[in-house]
Amino acid sequence: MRRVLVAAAVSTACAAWAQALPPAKVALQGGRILPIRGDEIPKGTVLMEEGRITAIGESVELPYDAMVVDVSGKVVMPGMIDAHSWRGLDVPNENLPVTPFLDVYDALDPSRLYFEDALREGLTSVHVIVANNCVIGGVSRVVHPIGLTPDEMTLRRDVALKMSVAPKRGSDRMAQMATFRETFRELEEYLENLAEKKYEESLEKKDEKIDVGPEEARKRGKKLIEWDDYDDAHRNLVRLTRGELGAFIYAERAGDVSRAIRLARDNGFFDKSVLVVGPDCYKAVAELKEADRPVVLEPPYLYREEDPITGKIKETFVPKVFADAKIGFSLLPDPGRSLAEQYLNYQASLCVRHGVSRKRALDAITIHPARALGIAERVGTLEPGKLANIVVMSGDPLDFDSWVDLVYVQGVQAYDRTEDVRLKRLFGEEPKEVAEVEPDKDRADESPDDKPPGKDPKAPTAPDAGTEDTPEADPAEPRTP
Amino acid sequence: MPSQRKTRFRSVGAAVAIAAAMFVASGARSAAATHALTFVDRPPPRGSFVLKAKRVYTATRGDGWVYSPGLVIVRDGRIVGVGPDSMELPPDLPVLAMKDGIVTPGLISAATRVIPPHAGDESIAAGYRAVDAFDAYAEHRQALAGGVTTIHLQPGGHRLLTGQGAVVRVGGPASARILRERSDLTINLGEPAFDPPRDVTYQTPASSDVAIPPAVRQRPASRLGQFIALQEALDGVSREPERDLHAAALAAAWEAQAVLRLQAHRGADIAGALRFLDQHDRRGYIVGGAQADFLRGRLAAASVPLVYTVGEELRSIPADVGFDPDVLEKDIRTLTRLRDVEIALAGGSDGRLADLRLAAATARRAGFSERQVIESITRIPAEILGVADRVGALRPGMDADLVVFSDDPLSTSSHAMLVYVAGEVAFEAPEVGALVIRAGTVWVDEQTRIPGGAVLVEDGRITAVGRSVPHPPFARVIDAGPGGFVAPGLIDGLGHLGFQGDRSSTDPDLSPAGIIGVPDVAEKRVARSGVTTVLTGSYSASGQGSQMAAVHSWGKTRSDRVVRGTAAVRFEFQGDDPLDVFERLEKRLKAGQEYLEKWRKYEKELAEWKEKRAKGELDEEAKEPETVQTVETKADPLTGTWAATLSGGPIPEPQSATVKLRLTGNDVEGRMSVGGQPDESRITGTFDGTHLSATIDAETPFGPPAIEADLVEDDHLVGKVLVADVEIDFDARRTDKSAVEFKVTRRRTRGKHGEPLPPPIDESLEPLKAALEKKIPIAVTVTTEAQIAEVLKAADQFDVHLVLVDAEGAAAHAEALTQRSAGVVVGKQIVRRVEGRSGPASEAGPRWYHQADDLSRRNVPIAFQSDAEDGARALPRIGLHAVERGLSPDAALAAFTTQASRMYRLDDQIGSLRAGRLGDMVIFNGHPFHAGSRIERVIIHGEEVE
Repeated sequence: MRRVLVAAAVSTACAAWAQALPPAKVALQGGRILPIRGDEIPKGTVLMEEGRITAIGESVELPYDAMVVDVSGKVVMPGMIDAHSWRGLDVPNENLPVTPFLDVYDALDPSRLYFEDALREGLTSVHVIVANNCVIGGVSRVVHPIGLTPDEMTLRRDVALKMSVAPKRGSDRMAQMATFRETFRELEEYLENLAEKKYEESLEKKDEKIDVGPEEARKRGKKLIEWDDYDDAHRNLVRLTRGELGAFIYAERAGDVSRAIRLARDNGFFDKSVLVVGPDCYKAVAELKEADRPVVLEPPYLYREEDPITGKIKETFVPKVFADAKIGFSLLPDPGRSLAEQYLNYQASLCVRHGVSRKRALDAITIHPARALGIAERVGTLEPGKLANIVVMSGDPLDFDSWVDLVYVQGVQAYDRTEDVRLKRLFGEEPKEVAEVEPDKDRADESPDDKPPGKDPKAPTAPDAGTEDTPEADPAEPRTP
Repeated sequence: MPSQRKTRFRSVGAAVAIAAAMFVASGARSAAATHALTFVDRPPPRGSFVLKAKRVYTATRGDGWVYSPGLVIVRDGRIVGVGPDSMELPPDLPVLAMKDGIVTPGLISAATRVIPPHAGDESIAAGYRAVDAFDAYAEHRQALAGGVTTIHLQPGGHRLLTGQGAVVRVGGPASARILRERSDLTINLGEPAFDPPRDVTYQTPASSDVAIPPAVRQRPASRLGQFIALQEALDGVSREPERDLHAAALAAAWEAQAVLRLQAHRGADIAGALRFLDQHDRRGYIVGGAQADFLRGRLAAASVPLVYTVGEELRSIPADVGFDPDVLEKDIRTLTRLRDVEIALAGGSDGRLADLRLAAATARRAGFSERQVIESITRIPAEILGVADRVGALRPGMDADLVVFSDDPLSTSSHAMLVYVAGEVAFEAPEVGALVIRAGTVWVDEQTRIPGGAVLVEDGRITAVGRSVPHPPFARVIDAGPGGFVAPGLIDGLGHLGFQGDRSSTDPDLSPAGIIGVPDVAEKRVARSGVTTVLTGSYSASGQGSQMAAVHSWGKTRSDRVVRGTAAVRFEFQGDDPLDVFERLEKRLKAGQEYLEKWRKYEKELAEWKEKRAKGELDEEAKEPETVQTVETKADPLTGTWAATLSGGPIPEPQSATVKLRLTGNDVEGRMSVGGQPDESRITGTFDGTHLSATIDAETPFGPPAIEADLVEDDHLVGKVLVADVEIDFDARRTDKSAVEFKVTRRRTRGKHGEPLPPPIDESLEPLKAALEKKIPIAVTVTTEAQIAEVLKAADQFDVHLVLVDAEGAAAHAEALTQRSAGVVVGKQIVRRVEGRSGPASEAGPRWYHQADDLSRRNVPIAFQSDAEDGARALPRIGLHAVERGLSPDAALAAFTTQASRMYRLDDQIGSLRAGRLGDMVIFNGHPFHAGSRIERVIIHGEEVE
């Protein structure tokens, strides 16, 4: 039964994505628009063309061939972003401690139910990364939760290398940190040996004999190393230390924070680091403030501590501490705890309930994770030019009564609650709440050359050399140093 | 009963009574000052301050290792001055005075197991750093409670070379926690390091070109092997380029001349360690040292310091060892033999930080001097760990790591009350409400006096008295020293505290406890003088007897201050005819007797009813039906329903009321309800055609309210409602002329289930009832012998306890008074000139008569009185005056404490220092009534009067 359901759901979702050619121009009209940046529009229109947002405002001049979707009474907001999730993978972690050569690409399974859930929960970008039980995990990527192949899903590849300063299971903090030191010491040793080898090889080609001492040989050899010379075990570490690859560093307890910062500083990837911090880390808020790096908060957000002498319980709402310290943070869904906490917008409403400002809470599920992941140029807000990753909710996202009605990924409708097979199965047939507009007759005649947006998997991931130096830019394909 | 009383307060009376009570109370309310009474001023100052304490151990070398009393000056987290309290204080800094606190530098434990040993398999693993496992934000409240602020972290004690240790603080700001990141190379010699696991580590998955390294048997397996292994590792350092992390780390540490921390217990290992240090010409120190006494000469000669870990498990019974001859256990004799070596002490091997002071106690037991022990847990470990330039002693330039102990830091009963780390508050003891007072003399009562005793007060009451008492954790300790003298709080036998000059007499139904508020300056003056309880009453007693209350002169809250709301009924006869005296007393006591009888009858009936119910013999028929009286209808000027408005006086807003009246002849009967409340109050009175005069049967503290109203026109009554002195305007119009029917609820004698109902409470007779039940005495102010005779007669007749006030002629009745243990509150004039006749030995001519002394010698209990409000502050001086004129000091003290409490039947609450009594006591530096002794501290209800 279950299998049938999965198959049905996947086929429905994918059918919408792959087969039915979606309209090139869609206008969401009449909804309340939360653009995240800029003022809220009580009743306005968002126009999507070729997978991107082209106009947004109270009144937008619509092209004659735009499909108009009436979303009056609903709320239009950017798709939410899960900043840190292993759930697109089959298992959270490899069992080896140091695996910088792994890439989540190899384990991404587009048919996993998680991606379907992600759409239902209003997520349009998911950062798939290995979990915290590692020393150095693999390379992560940001994907859209829809697509037939990992390539098709990918929004940004090679986002970050996962690391954890909290001990891997069966290890402890001393061994964990020693492993880091050993890894980077060994990397240096490897690079020197490689340089020496390259120099010797270059001499051999010229039939010359070695003419200098090892120090000089290493210095000269360094320039001769080409990208392909690095082996798998070291390539990503080289990219990391050169600042070509980001790092997501997990710190479980407050004491881990300084070690994480120091690890990143000592090895040259601090400017590309994002700190994933456990609830205890609220104590290290001053240190995090000074570090001024994006922070991803691990749930649970209500943290309890007991005084060993008096037995009194102290409760701290962690995001409030960060908000008070004016540190930007991303929230994460907590699928393990309750039905409610697996919704990212519920996590944001929990923050508001505990005194975090509405703006900060909404930022924490949209633009802040986008910035942390280096995709803020493309997603995270509703602005002309950005990818049309849009969620239409039945009400305010911070109201727990609201649900996700429609999800657009790159301008293509990826989810429609009225067509949700699984929900129908759960609740039976529901009256359709979204007034459907008759699709434009002209569309059938559209020339096949007009590729619908999002169809080209390369489009969103194409390396953009011009923006490479900015932290939010895509890393280019590895090039010869 | 309370519920019944409550209902009687409602209805008509409610608005009136509450308003009136507010009106009266407002006069008694004083500008209340709140007093913070905690161990330290909260919040304690931080950063820059002066700390004054009873004693300051500086733990420095040379002179000035202790100042008693002393002070520490801290500026920006650093110590800038330490010295005796005569030192000049910087004028700009806040002063924290801890008069019972004893200050030491933050204690330092040079051997702990705060962090678990690392999980690595390597026998030589210099690459592990203990600091990596340290959480600079973790709270170590248990450690701080034991006074420990700085500790050594070891990477583990399970391998030959476990890594590099660190020195950290366990409290204070996270940024200041790490003192030394890499303080030493930790080497463990002896059994624990033998037989490490086979070394199988692989970082990457084995593949065609990455092989699994073969298993290598690691050293050491024996005592010989441990030095070979160390030597091999060191040879590697000098020969080969670094092969791995650990070799690289060892090379770096060795090059940087790292200190070697050699953990060794057996003599052979210690000797080996000394040899190793000598051979490599390295600085290092020994940790452990169970057999260090064998080598104390060599240790001293090589000037290698020793960290001695006391015991294995200080808080639990160790495993049985049976006949094992090789068992190595710490022996106190070892420590005794190490007395002359400078050693640092550390807690048991279970690494509990709070064990440091148990270790110190053990060292004291082994014959170490106080100074040696203090230094062995402060300065010496700091020097060994290489942090002596920042912590471990109190001298200018050092970080302000201070511990304020509640008691002698070397006694096991003391606790850290306040801990500073780098000038910041790192720990504050929780408030537990326990107080231990120790003194050279504890005067329990006139029979018992404990030399070198102690009193424990918990939650305001004395819970233990004796040569030694339990010390609950975080109990505050007051040590009054060998000269200290602890006496029960002094009692003023008759005063007027709280009356604020009001010279009128209080009505018999009011307790002076009602006017007691939060103490003010006047009360504090009294409290400071040592008078902790005042039997307070109005300046003059009413003819029907006024109540007296026993109140504390000081307390945090009102309820803390009231010892007993009604402590006595006071009558006053001055210059009255003796016969009059008897008549008046008899009349009043008779009324009380009748009232008491009613209650006794009720109690008897209730007991019977309960018994019956228990047996199941209850007669349901016994229920009384409510009677409804119907009346003939006849129109008259008054009968009907009236809508009334009450306004003015203390009522903030006009209140509406419904009055139903019925006229029968001249008698008026009716019901009244205020503000739509369902409860109705009965009205009874008379109507003479135009004027209505009635009382409302509602309970107020000032008697029933009355209505006086005139019929100004048809169907319109205008007049006043009178309660006490308050007048409220009354204006009513008739809304219905038809005769009203209402329930005439005759006072029911049986309740719903046939149970007897209690008689109505008469507040003015309640005190007399208590007196007749012998719960409280009656206090009678009399003068002459003849009057006293009459009073005694009345007391005999009604069998009540008696307190005589003034009673100049009491000596003549001494025997009778003694027999009934009746006391005398002696006159204000301690010694007076009298004609010979009333003296003990009838002599002719005038002479000086010392009433207190005379009665005391005749075994009549006596008490002193102030007959004043805050004038009671001089009462102890009056006692001294009495002693000066011949009264024995102990008799004077008994008169102020035990005898006063006994005559007022308050001895279960105050007057002695027995368990169960209130924690009221006064600390003197000698006998309270010896010349030259002085009052030092006053404690009321377990709280010190500041």
